[in-house]
Amino acid sequence: MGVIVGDTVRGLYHAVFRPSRLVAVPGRRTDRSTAEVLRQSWQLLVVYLANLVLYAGPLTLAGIGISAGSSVPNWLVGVTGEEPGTAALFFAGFLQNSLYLFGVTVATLVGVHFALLVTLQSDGFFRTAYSIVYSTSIYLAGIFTIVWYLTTAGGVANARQFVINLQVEFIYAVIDLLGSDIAFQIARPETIVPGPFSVVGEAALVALAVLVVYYFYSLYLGTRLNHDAGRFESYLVIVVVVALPVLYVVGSIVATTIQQGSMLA
Amino acid sequence: MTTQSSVDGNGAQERDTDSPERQDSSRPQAAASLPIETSPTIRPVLVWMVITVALAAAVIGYVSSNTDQVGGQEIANILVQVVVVIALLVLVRLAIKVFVLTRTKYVVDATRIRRQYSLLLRTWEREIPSEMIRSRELRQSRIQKLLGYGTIEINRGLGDIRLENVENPHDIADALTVITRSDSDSKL
Repeated sequence: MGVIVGDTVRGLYHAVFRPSRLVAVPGRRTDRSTAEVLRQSWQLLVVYLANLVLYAGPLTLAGIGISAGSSVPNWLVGVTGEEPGTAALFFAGFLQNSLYLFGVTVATLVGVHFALLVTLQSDGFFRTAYSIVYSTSIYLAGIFTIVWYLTTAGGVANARQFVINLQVEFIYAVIDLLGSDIAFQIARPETIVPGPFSVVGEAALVALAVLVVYYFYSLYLGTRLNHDAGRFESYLVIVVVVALPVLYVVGSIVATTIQQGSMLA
Repeated sequence: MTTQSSVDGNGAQERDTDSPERQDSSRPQAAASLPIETSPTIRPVLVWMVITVALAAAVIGYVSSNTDQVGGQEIANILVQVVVVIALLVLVRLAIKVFVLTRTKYVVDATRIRRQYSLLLRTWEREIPSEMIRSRELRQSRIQKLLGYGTIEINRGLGDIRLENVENPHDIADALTVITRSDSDSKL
């Protein structure tokens, strides 16, 4: 028990004050045996799953995701049935809450490693996975938790609307950039800031922004330390990660345009 | 009193005692041909602290006087708070570093390289026997170069020891080269 508390405190200290300790693979040895790599990969997977549980568990317990009374998505009906029990509902909710973080982790991992391969800086997939697992499961999970909080908590309406407006404005900026005339389901906000923020709302937004800075900084450090990359390559990795949502929106716009074209035809 | 000691695969030894005083009597005496005992300087860290405060003040000043450019008073308030939080976190981190560095001592002699520091009534000690030195790396950041300090990393990635912010880093690096060479020669 003491060891767990000690490790947690140390982990929190590193997360706040020494992100380099968190994301850097211990040792620079690249001549590890397959068994050693498999053992470390297994440890990494356990760390990621534990953090996923720590992130998605409380969300599901708070009733976010699938709860009694809400309909089960079609893709889960095969597993839970039309009238699932409480355990099945919890499991389905947990799965639903985990999927987004998991998806972003995979997308970030692929994007970052692709950038490292292109710049010939990669020292192996495991080293990329190590930093991404820690970056996403701590800082990104923190970001999502605050977004969830803003979505569900009372007294933070303006902060919530501000975050939504930022995302909508971002999507419209990409639409404008592409010169597309497709209509997005949410109208462009007239103003980004709907009104003065409450104290709690402001604190949540500050925490959100600080976590975003930490997230990008940890990705930068992971690239620098684990792959001995230069500053340019490390900044490039950040650019790739920032570009991922842009690519996602561009892909959605292209898909929608093609869909509309085929419907008209 | 408890003492923990570990030796990694590359010969680096680590000790951790809960007494600030080291128990040196059981150790083999160094050849003492070139004993270098030095402590790291905190000046580069203090320069970073000043830079952090100056940068934070500059950004806060810019944001506060250009609220329209950043999207209005509400967003400016958020940005200022974000800068303050990040600057405080960096300053706390640097203060911890100062605290540790002022309690750190490096010893380089013919038989070993040792780094030790005492903190909260505990002493951490790490040493590499000279015959286990596989590599050394001398790094000087711009600030270190300007102030005449440097950081030497011995056996990087192999249970390394960092001699951080040492004065005359080239002299220490040369001493390490001499140690490594004389050890190789004695083996031949």
